[in-house]
Amino acid sequence: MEVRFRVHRYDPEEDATARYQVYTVDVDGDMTVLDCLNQIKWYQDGTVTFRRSCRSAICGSCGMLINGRNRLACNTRVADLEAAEVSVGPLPGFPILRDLVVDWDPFFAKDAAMKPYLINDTPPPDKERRQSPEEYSKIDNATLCIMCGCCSSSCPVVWNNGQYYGPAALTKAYRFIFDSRDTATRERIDMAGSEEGTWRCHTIFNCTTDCPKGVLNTQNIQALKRKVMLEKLGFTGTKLVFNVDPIYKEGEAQHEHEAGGIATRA
Amino acid sequence: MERVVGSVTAQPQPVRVAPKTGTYSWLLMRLTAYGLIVFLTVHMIFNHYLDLRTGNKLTFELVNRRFYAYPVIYAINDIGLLTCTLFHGLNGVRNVIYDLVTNPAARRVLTILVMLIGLYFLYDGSLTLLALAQMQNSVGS
Amino acid sequence: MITHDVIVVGSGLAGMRAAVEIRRKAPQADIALITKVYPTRSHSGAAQGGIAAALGNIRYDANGVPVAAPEDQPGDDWLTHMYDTVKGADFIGDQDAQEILAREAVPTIYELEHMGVPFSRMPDGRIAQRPFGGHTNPRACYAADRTGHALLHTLYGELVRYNVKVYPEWYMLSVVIEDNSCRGVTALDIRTGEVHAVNAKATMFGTGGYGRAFKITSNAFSSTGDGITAAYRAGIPLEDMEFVQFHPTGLFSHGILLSEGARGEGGYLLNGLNERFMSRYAPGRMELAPRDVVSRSIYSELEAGRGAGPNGEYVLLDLRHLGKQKLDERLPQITELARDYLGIDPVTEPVPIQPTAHYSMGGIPTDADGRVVRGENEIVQGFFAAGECACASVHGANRLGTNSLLEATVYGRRTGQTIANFLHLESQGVGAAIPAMPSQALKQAEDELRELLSRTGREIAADIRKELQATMFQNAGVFRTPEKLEAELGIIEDLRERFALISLDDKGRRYNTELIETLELAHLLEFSECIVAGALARQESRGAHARRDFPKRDDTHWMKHTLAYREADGRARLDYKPVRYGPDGPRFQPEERKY
Repeated sequence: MEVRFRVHRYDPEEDATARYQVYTVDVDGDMTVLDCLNQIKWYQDGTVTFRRSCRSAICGSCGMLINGRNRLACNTRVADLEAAEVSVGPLPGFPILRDLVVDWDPFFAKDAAMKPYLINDTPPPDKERRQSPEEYSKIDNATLCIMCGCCSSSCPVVWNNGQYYGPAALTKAYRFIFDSRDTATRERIDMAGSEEGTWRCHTIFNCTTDCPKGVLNTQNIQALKRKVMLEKLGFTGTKLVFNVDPIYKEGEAQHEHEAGGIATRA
Repeated sequence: MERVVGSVTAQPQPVRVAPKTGTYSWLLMRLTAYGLIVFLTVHMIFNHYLDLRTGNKLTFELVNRRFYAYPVIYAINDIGLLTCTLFHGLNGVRNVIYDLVTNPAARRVLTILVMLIGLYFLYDGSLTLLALAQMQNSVGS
Repeated sequence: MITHDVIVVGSGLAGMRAAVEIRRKAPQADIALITKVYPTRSHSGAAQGGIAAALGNIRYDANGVPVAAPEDQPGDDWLTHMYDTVKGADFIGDQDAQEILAREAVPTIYELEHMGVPFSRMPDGRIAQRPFGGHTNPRACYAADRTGHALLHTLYGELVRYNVKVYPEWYMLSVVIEDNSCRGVTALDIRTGEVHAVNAKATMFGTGGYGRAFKITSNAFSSTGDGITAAYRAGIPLEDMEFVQFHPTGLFSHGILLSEGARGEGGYLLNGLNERFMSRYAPGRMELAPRDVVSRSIYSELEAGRGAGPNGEYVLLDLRHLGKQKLDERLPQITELARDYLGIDPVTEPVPIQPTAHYSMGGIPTDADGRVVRGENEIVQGFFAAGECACASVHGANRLGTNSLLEATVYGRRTGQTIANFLHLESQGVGAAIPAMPSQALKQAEDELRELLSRTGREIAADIRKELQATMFQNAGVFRTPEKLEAELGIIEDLRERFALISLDDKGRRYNTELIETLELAHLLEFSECIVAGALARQESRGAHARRDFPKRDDTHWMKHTLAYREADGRARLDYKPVRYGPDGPRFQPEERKY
């Protein structure tokens, strides 16, 4: 099956504006968008530039705007797109370095601002710190994040306001705030609960919809909002916590993931 | 060269705005939403529903008679409604401002401006409602 | 010229763990990390099943079912772990290094847990463990089936905590060694296209493996043996390159990894006749035999015409009996991979699998402390290596599942300590001068890039790569014959000649990924010869190296490590060195390896 690929081409130092170049690829059965991009790069035009590494949806290199949705090129089968033409662009809202390659630096700086490491004031025991499966289950979903940027770059608030930490960084904050082993809740909340943190989230749900790993970003941010509020009002560590923790129905992540619905910027 | 140094190992960014503002604005947004449900329900029944017992048509006179009967409840409810509506709506405006304006000083100025607008309308509206209630009170007695 | 006290190349588990350790042990040292990707993109993150350590939280009961062990009676000990590793390695591993691996595993895991790794838990809050191939006890600590990802992201966090300077998307071009002392590396800033010399007192490699030499591989596009080749070109011999692990359960035709944890949790392997064929080859351990055994068994089934599928090209991994709940909880990622790539739901259908090139046992020879050695024991000053690129040799002829994450973290940590001690030596002290970088190094790297970009031949890099990978998989794969290996040597030579005649579409310098791919291809062509030459010379079958003409292990002649030196004409010259033991001699004597 011949599929037309419209690929975003742009070199900020050479081109005044971006353009889309069309390539035709003979797609068979299970080929993914990344396979096709490789075909283009290897046999048609070596100058097409994109990032890729693991091609098994875990390294987070190949997040792209594919037919209007942010996806990983490596786990998106062309057949599943059900389109005769596939448009491939860089993640929206990030500075473009070349063609499909965006500048990660601001993204990683926001992540670093969230102190993406465990802080525990008590000296570590000889063995492991205990954590019950129930306690673990609160952060299970958030630890799925591969930092591919699909969420943050699908968020209209991020497009509009480059200072907003965005869903990826806030999910990282969530992952540590709700980790039963972390004691720096207060510190983290000052950052996550600042004006450029949770409060800029308008529950648009693009980040949850577009996450290729099924991370419930928007839901996590809502849980963070409640947590921040209780902490700020002084209900630190009270039993009210039950009210704060997200309770997801079984299969919700999958459902949210497949539902699609909310269109990102085309 | 500077770029690489500033990427993954970037120092945490400072908190730009007093962190509590967002918290209270979000909390009050939620609370005023509950307020809106209550006050708006009472307001709608009071001002806009038929007299079910008699099936009378809704007329200015009918509504007026209700005012005469319960002036205090009416005044409290509508001032409450006004407060919640103003806060809820203007908080939305503030949010839009925060989305569009990233300069902290500008944000502060615009927030104060929005607050002043809100306070003015609350003052003006409340006076009107109180005056009405007063009038109805005096007429009623 | 950029100068640092320590330069770490590679941002996988080994590199990051070492960087963190140096920060802890020598806080004043100026340390930087160079990586061709971003730290969270490294291939360590693709590891799935677990990381071994004899915590003893889980043990087998009388019926062989894993159950919780009482807290005061651990169900495992490090010596058993070491024995399993030694036996898994088919007795050619260096036992001093293997002892360190097993001994330091337990504190290393606890340390990782304290760093915040989100391990899966037992009901009482201890770290959960599960059975794995070749291990006597259930000792694989895991975070669902994304253990590597959990570890990688935690260590990335540690980099941020310790404020380690990172040069992301810098591609290391060469390592500079003069007078048997390492002076640093040259590197290409991919974004700007500039070449820099990075001068350092200590250089450490954690650059990963070389699975990309094979067509069907579980490895990332970036696993191209860059560090191994750079060391080889700088005169360091490569050790035991012929030992390449083929993981039994790669997704059919893609090669994408389906964790051994799938079998650890009770998955079956079925042939075309729906038989659990492992009963023929490893009746004692069945599906949980070591990977080399299972991969050979699969090939034997396929060759006997008992494959599944229309052309009998694959066998099946059957997880249906585990049930949806267990799959969702313990193996969510591989469930998703099977759905995304083959459109098959493991809950209702068995998954087609085939062996896939997975791990490189060989690499840069090091001692048990991570110092790079030339010859038998000549230490190269200021040069260190750990992880998959290094050959300590912990894994010998075959690595056990879950021992790679362990090696990366144990040896990353240990090498970090070695480097910190090295910096504390008086002459190398933090304030001491950095040994000079030879001035021609930078120019040479720059000239080589220019030359490559200016080539105007008719060959296409992709064709060469494709042919190399296909023939390597065919001729130097699971089963090897001298005829095929000799043919492969000829093919490599032919491909090298063709490589001289390539030309690139992209002649620019900024973010030229075609240039990077071409440099990587040059690496594949370089070290593939070592794999094939080593395999051709080694006239025995040991671990992952299986010769049709020599089906038995031969301890009399081949209980030694291969060393491949690069000659001036670019060809490999083979030499050998003895297996290393601890000060008290071997803890375990070679025995027949049966499962």
